[in-house]
Amino acid sequence: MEITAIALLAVTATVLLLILRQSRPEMALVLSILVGAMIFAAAVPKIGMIVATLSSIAAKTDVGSLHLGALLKIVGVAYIAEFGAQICRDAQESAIASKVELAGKVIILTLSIPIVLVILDSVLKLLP
Amino acid sequence: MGINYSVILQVAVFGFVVAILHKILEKSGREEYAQVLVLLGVIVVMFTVIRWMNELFFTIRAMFQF
Repeated sequence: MEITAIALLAVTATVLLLILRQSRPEMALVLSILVGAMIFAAAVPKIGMIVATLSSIAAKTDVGSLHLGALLKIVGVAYIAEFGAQICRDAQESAIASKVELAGKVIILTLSIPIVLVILDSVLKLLP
Repeated sequence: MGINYSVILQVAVFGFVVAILHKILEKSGREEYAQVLVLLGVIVVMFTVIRWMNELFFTIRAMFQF
């Protein structure tokens, strides 16, 4: 079971980091980035199956497949922005973290403009 | 790639070695060498960390079809 490996790795890394943070906090930060990136990179491919299922469902409907790409990109941007912001917050740099989150929000808004326009079009067509 | 446990252990041991060397250099009076050592240690570890962060971001982009 992979979840046990991930949980054990996370607990071991936390204990090691606790010791390392007392003497060298910057080495503790890079080690936590490394462990976090590795665990994340091991978990993300599992989402590939969910994405494939979503794509097959969207292919059956007429309208879903156009914007599924934008939706998936939005989710990916959210993951990456959250990862970067949390690392900055761990290093007590919450100003940079909020700037990363702001950039993520702006990018997501930009990506979602076509979907909003399509919804507006449909609503306007419905109105007499 | 899966989880590479040896890299994590290497970075952790490297971090502890840097901490011990820093303490030794400080105690023996060479403070500037201690600071330079810490900087070099972070740069060396960043090579590995950036490689794995790149792997993570490529995986995310592949999954969500960027």
